[in-house]
Amino acid sequence: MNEAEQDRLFADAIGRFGGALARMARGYEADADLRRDLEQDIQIALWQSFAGFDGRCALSTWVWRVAHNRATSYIMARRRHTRRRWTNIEDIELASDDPNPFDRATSEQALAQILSIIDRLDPPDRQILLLYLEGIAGAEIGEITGVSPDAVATKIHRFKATLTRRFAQSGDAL
Amino acid sequence: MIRSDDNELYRLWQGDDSQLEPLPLAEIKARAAKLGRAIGKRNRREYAAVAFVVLIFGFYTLILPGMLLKAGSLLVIAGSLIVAWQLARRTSRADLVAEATDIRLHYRTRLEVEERMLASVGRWYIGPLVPGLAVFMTGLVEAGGFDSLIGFAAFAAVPTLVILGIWLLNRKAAAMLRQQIDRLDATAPEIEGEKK
Repeated sequence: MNEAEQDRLFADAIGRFGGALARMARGYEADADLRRDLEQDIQIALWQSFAGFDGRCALSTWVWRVAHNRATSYIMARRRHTRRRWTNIEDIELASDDPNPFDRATSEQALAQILSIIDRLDPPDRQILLLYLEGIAGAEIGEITGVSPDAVATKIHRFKATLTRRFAQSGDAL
Repeated sequence: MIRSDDNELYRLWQGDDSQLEPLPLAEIKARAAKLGRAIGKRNRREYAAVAFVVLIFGFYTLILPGMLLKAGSLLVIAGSLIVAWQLARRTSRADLVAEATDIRLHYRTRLEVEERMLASVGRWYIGPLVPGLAVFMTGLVEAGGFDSLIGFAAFAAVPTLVILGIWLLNRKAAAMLRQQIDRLDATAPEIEGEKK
C-alpha cells in the first residue's frame, strides 16, 4: 500500500471513529493527561497499521482491534507500576459501600458506575463491554475480540445483571 | 431513573462528549519514526544499570590486584553485556501486524511472552552474572579480605539474598501471569478447541 492510501484510510478511520476511540480510551485510563497520551499513541498505532491493511476484514474491525490491542499493551505496562489486579466479569463483586450512582440516578453518576466496573476488568472482558456500549453487534464483537458470539452474549448479560443488581439495591429496580 | 436496557446504556455511554484530539498527520509520522528508534523507559533504566556495572568493574579490572579479581571483573562485565543483549532481544517493539489480530489472541500472546520472560529470568538475567560474581568473590577471599569464614559468609549473603529475591519475585510474577492465561483459556474453551 502506498503512503497516500495509508493516509486516506487513517483520515477515514479518525473521521468515523474519533469520538468512539476517545470513549474507548476513557475505559482504559481515568487520568485525563495520561489518557491524552494514550489517544495519541492509538492514533500513531492506527496510522502505522494501515500500511498492512489488506481489506480482508472491515475497516471498523481493523480499527477496533488495533486500538484495543494498543490500549491493552498500555495498561499492561502501567500495571507494572500500579500493581492493579483485574478480574473477569463473572467475579465482579460490588461491595455494599461502593458509591452507588443510581441512588440519585443521574447520567453522570451512572456513567461513573459503569466506568468503575470496566476499570476492574481483565482486558478481554473490558474490550467486550466497551464494544457493546458502542452499540456493536455481538457477531462483530466476536470477530474483533476472537470470542464466540455466545460467550460475548454471556458477558454482556452478566454486565447488565450486575448493573441491575445495583438498581435493585438502591430501590430503583425496573 | 437510569435503566439497564441496551438503548439506555448506549445513550448513556455515547452521550459522553469525549472527543479525540486529532494529531496532525505530519506529527504522527514524525512520532512513528521516533518510536521505531525509542527504547522503553524500563529498558533505559536497565541499560543505565548495565553501564554503571561496566564502569565500576572496568575500574576494578584496572586497579585491583590478583588474577581472580581481574578475571571476575571482566566476567561480570561480559555477563552484564549478555543481560543487556537479552533484554533488547526480548523486549523489542510491538509487532505492528500482530496488533491487527483479534484482541484475545493478542492479549494471550502478550501474557505468554511476559510469563516466559519472567519465568526464565534465572537463565538470562541472573545466570550470566553469577560466574563473574563467584570468581570475583573468590578473588576477595584469596586476597585475604576476610578474617574469618563467618565474615566472608556475611559478605556473600548480601548478593546471594538479592539474587534469590530477584529470582523469587520474578517467579511469583510469572505464576500470576500463568494464572491469568489459564483463566483466559478457561473462559473460552471452545475457541481453544477449534484451534487445536
